[in-house]
Parts: sequence; structure tokens; C-alpha cells
Amino acid sequence: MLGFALRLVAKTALSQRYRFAALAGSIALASSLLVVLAVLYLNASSLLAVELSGVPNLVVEPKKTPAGVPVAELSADQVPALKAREHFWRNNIQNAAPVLLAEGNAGGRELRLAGTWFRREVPSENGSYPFGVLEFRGWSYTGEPPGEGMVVLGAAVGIAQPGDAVEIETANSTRTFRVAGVLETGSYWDSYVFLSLEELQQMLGRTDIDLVLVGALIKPRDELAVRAELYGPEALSPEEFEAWYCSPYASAIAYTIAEVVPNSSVRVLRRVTGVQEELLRASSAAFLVLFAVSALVAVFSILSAVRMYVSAKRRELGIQRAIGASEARVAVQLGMEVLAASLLAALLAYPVSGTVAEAISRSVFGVELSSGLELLVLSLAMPPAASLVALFFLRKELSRELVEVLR
Amino acid sequence: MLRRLVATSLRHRARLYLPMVLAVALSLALAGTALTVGESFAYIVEEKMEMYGANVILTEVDEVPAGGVAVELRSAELEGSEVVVAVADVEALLAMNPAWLVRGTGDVLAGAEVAERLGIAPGDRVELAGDERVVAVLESGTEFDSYLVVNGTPGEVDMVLLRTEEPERYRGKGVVLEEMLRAKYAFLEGVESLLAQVSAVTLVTALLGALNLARMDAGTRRREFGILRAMGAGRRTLGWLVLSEYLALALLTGAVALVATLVMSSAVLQATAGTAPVMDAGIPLMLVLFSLLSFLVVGAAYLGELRRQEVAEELRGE
Amino acid sequence: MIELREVVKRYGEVVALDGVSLKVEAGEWVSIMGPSGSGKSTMLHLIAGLDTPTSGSILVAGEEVSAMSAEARAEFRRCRVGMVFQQFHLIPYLTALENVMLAQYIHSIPDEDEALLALERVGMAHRARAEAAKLSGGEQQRVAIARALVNDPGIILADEPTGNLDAGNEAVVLELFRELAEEGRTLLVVTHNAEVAGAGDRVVRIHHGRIENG
Repeated sequence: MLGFALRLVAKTALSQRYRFAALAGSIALASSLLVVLAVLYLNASSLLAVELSGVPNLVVEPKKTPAGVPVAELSADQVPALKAREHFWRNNIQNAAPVLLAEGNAGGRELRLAGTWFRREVPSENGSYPFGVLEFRGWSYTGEPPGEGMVVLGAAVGIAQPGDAVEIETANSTRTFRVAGVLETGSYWDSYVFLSLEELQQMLGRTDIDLVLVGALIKPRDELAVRAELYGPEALSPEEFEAWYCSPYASAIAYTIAEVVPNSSVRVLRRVTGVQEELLRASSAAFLVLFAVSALVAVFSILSAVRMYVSAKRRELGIQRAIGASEARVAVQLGMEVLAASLLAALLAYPVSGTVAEAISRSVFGVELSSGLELLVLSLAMPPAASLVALFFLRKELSRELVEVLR
Repeated sequence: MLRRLVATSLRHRARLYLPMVLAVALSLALAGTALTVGESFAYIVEEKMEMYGANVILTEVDEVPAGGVAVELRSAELEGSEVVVAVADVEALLAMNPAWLVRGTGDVLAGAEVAERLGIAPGDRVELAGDERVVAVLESGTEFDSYLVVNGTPGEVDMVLLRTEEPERYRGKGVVLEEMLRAKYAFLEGVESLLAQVSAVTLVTALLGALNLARMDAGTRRREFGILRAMGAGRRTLGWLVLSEYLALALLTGAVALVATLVMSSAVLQATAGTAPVMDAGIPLMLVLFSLLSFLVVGAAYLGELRRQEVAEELRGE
Repeated sequence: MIELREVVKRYGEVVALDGVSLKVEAGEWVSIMGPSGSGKSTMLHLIAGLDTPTSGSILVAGEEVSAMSAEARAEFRRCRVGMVFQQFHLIPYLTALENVMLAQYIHSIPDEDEALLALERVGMAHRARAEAAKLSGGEQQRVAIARALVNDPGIILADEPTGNLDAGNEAVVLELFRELAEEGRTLLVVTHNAEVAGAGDRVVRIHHGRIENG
């Protein structure tokens, strides 16, 4: 029984290759569109968040006593903890740079000095990760890669040109550096002179740091996050706390950083996160609406492909009905054929949607998509699901007047 | 006669053509919407940038510019510790910086860092220069976190916070904050290019749907064309008939797409930013051109499908 | 066996059958004749349950076909009726054998040996593995008759079964019908070929949707 039904399906597919391939191809392409859109939609927010995360949005500082003295020293050795397995939001940390602040002067002009990492590979669970002030993508650096004995000038410093030598004097020592380049940050940091952290520590005779600049991917705040900020996470119920902790709100990331960096206090740069959140919210709403419309177009395409197939088979189905096949029997047979075509389509949709989604992600965001499983599940499930839905909508076509079909 | 044939055929096939027109129009509208939203996104972004708050901090102040909030900094004793007190019009300060968060209500705002250091919680009463005050806590993510902010008129102006469209004017007189500028452009570019690519992919799919329908239509019209050909109509005549029908459909589609673009972009922009769309003059033109192009492709496929059929076969209706 | 009572069938303004009453006894071979558009095919379709009358009733073996649901009519067709059409209506890409098996599949369980026997009966066993589309008209009609027979129906309804056949094949088909009639099956054959009509027990003439001779 089933054997003969399958034989009919195989026969249809083989003898009407063109029609069957057109059906499978159409379903594959339309499903690919759906899958691409779904994958992009699921990832667009985080991908766009990457575009927005090129500047520091969190600052880690040592906790202070009432007199304003750090409870414990903060050290650059604690920076890798942000990417360590123990840190819940390690994957959202895009960049971090330790900073030691000092005052100094060059040729009688007062200077603000910042000892920091220019570029440093920090180990993480998936290999190493480049951290440092020159890695903030929202900041722009022009000059040569700074090496030993070199400084980088903030855009507003203007005491020398790249290549010039500058003599920098601090309270304890004086040293001559060569200017490697200029860093434009669009913030207070434009008025700083950046030195290598170790060199400034040496000059000052210190081993600690004052703060860590962190760039993290965040999610826009919702009512829960606002409540956590207003009344503190301790005011949330255990379930709410769990939900808050497990969402990458700026405040939740600040909280988890404070957990892995002992005696620290994490400040959210609200003017930055505020803008990031607003933009992400606006774009994801726009994408949701556009995704819905695109999905409509894709479903429509599948509907028309299945309709075309059914209409081409009307006569054949009419014959089966004329010799006594029930509507249900005809529908099952047709369903099996469409299912076969959509399984073939699924096999096509996986590579097609993978390639297209990857290409779009690469050209728009310059990153690879990390959604292999999503892609696989959606590609395999979408074609049969969409075509069966299409068939459901077309069931009326099956009960057309028999006499008309056979005329 | 051609016009009559076309009009009758369109009326008869409304059920078939409607979805075809809708599919192409919808995807064109999607592309149009994506482009319009992309255009308008620049305005949305500009509007959302308000969240950034003050973008100029003037430190050398001759006179307070219009809209600027003047701040006087002095030191005072709070709960036995020395703190920096910032005197300013607090209401104006908070209005200028919408991202700042105030926890609780009080007469003075203790910066988050001050509050943490001194163990002050929102609603606490503190003694400031001999007076008892109720404290709210300010989380600004700026230097203000280390101040105690008190409402008042500054006697001596130490700095002015300013939100301005022309931060360049103040370069050299203070700090210009524009760290989100580059990120903003990268983001905008990302949004626009994503929207454009999504609409391109959608357009291809819609075209495919329309092609399918056209092929189906060609299948159902075999007998009609067979009769016309048996009567001596050449391929050219049939070609004109099909092309005229498709030209009419293309124009209809372009019009539907334009209306749908307006409606959809308004909906998207209303929902996301509460603004009306700003449509580039090129977009309606693009919609009509693409519509013509789509139906030209569909028409060509249609003719291709007809070409494969033999007159005798068509008349037999097999 | 088959009884039509005051059957009317309208298609909008057009009256295809205008109060037709007819009785066909079990085992009888009735030919229905009439010009194009007289309503003879409509009558056959109504009896087969492919369509329903506007008014009146159709009884087959005591059951009222015209009152049945679409599903019940489908069951009626697959269990009681074998249909033969002028255009043969085979599935072109299936083989002759598979076309016959399709009827078995729709009825109950496909049985290749039994299907081959049916083809043998119409002299088509040697072409069993040939695709229907590649058979001649006469061959296709013989396969269609085998398909109609394979489930052993009591009633054969044929709509212009020789309309697309040459004289030689017409004779073959008539011979097959004769055998079916001799087996005691009820045959209703629509035709406008006098020779085919004459082969039956009785000829019913239909004109403008009315029967001219009861």
C-alpha cells in the first residue's frame, strides 16, 4: 500500500522532472529567503550591536573607602578575568584596556598621562583576543604601531607630530619618547598622552592601575532592567533576578564584572549605553516589521509554486477522483509528493541560505555568522512546514468540480 | 481590438493576476520601504543621539551660551568626608542628559560614586554644611558621579554643559564629546546595507513567485492561444497581446507598490521613531522601473512557455 | 438497478437535463444516443456521482446516489462502478500496469498479478510495462477498460468509448463490452455511433435534456 504510494511519488518526480524540479526549486528559494531573514533577524541586533560597541561603555574602578582611598589595588592582571570562563558575559566583552592616570609635563606644558595597553592579546576560552585602546573601533588611530619607548597623542594634545621626540617629565622621573601617532576618541581621552602601561608604571614606581575601559555588547533595557537599576538587583524576585542576570543589559554585565573583579565598582557610561540602546531598539523594531513583510512574500511564493504544481496536476487528480479516490486520499498522495519536493528543497535550502546569510553578514558586518544550528534546523524544517501550510490553503483547489476537470 | 482583448483578459484573470500583482508589488514595496526607512534612519539616529546628552563641556567660560547649563564646583563636608559639590539648575541638567538615572527623590543628588563611598542610600538624610537634606542617588556614568549635585544658581561658573548641533564652534574652549559619531555612521551603513540586501533577496523571490503564476497562466490559456493561432495569429500577435497585458499589470503593480511603500514606511517609522517618512524622489521612479522590468521578465517567461506548445496539442486540450 | 426520477440539472441559465426519468435493469446494456449538448454525458456523470442533480433523485441498487456526500459518492464509484472515457484518461507517465494498479490502490490494495490478469483479459498483457503516453488510442482504451474492470464492478459507465478510435479498435472494444454484458454486468454506454448503440439491449434517445423514448 505505502509501497505503491511511494512508487507513485517516485514516478511523478522522475517522469515530470521539470515540473517537480520547478516545485522543489521554488520552495527551496523561498524557504531560503525565509531562513536567511530569520537568521539575520535573530542576529541583526547583536551584529548591529557590534557596530555600536566600538567605544568603551563601562568603566571598572576600585571600590573606595569613605575617604576616597581604594579598598584594594586594581591590577592589569585582572583584565583577562573579563574573558575567562568564570565570567558569565565573557562573550559580550569586545574590548578592555587598563589605564593608569598621572600628571606630567613636556617642555613646561602640563600633560595628562594615561598608561595603557595599545594592543595586547588576551587569552580567552576560544583562543586569544586583541585588547587595547587601539582596538576600540569607534576610535581612530593614525600612525605607526606603537612600540617600546613610544607614545600616542590624544587628538587634542597637539604638542608634537608623529615621529617627533618628546621629553616627558613626571614627579619621579623624566624620559624621552617618540610620538607613534594620534588617537582620536571624540571624548575626554583626546586630551591625554598614552604611554605603555608598564613604562608609565616604571616612571611612577607603581604596579596598580586606576581603571579599566570596557567595550561590551549590550541589549536595550526593558521594564525589568529599569527596575533593577532603580531599586537595585537585590530588590528583584529570585526569578526576576535570574532573568535579569541572564540578559546582557549594561547593568547586568556591570554586575557580573564586579563579581569577577573583586573590590571593584563598575560604572556604566550611560550617555553611550543610552544611545546604543535607543538605536538598537529602533533598528530591531524596523527589522521586525520588514521581516514580517518579507516572510509574507516568501510564503506567498511557496503558495504560488505549490498552486502551480497542483493546477498542473488537476486533470490527473480528477481522473483519480473519477475512478473513486476520496478527497482525503488524493490530498495525502499530493501531500506526499509536495513533501518529497520540499525535502529535496530542504537539502538545497541549507547550503543556499547558509551561503546567502553568510555573504550578507560578511558584506554588511564583516563578521561570520555563528548560527550553524539555527540555520540547519530552520533550513530543514521550513520547506516542509511552509509547503504543507500552502497545501492546506489550497485544499479548495482539490474539490473543484470533477466534471469540469474531466471535460 | 487589442485593447479590448487585453481589458477582457485582465478582467477574466483577475483572480490569477491579483496575487501576481500583489507579490511583485509587495516585494517592490518592501524594497521601497527598506530604502525609505534607510534614508529616514539617519534622522531617527540623529533623534536618538539626543540620548547622548551634553556634547560640549566648556571649561573656559566668558558667557553662558543659550541652552547651556552652568555649574559651579566647590568643596564641602558631607557626613564628615570632603566632597565636591556641584551647584546647578538640576532640572535643566537632567533634561539635557536623558540617559542619567536618579534613584529615589531628594533635595540633593549624591553621585553614585559618592553614595557608594559614603554608604548613602536613596532617601537617607544627611547633614550638608549644617543643614539636613534628603538624598537621591545620581547614576550618570560621568564625572558627576563623584559630585554632590545641589540645585541652585552658580555664583562662579566653573563649567557649562551644552547640547548643540554645532559642537565644532566650541573646539578649543572645552571638551567636545562625539565618541558615538564613528559608531553611528558604521551603524547607519550597516542598517542601510542590510535593508538593501534583504530587499534584493526578497525581490528575487517575489519574481520567482510571479514567474510561477505566469507559467501556470500560460498553461491554462493554451486552448485560447491555440484557437487564435489556428485562426492565423502569428507569434508576434500573441506576443503583443501578452506584452500589452503585462504592461498594464506592470503599471498597476508600480502604483500599488508606491502606495504600499508609503503606508509601510509610515508604519515602520511611526512604530520605531514616531516620525513621518522622508521619501527620496528617485524611489517612485525606481518602483515603476523595477515593476516594468519584473513583468518584462515574467512576460518573456510566459512567451517561452507558450512557444513550447504545439497548435494541435493546444486544441486537443491535453 | 439504476433509476432516475425527474432528474433536472441546470448550469446557471442552461438546462442540461430537464426532468429525466429512466430505469435500467440489472444486467441490461443500455445505449444512450443524442446529438452534442443533448445532456447524455451529463446524465452519465450524474449516475456516476461525479456531479449532483439540481433536483430529482438517482437510485443505484436501491441507494440514492444523488443524496450522498462527496465522500460517499467517491466510495460508490470505487466499489460499484467502472468508468470508461472518450479521452481514456490514463495517467500518461505511469505504465499500463501501474494505471490498472492505481485503481486497485484507490479501491484497496494493489495486486500486480491481478492487474496483469485484467490486462490479459483486454489483450494488453504484452504492453503492461509500456508507458500509457506511448500507447496507441486503441491500446489506451483497452487499458482504461482493464482499469474499469479490475475491481470487479457491477456497473460499467462508458462515455463515448469509441469516439477516438478507428474501426478496428472500435470492434475490439465492442467485443469486450459484449463479454462484460454476458457476465451479467450492467452497461450504460453514451454514444452517437449507431453501430455501437445497436450492440446494446436497448437504445435511449435524448434531446434537449429530455428522453424521447422511454
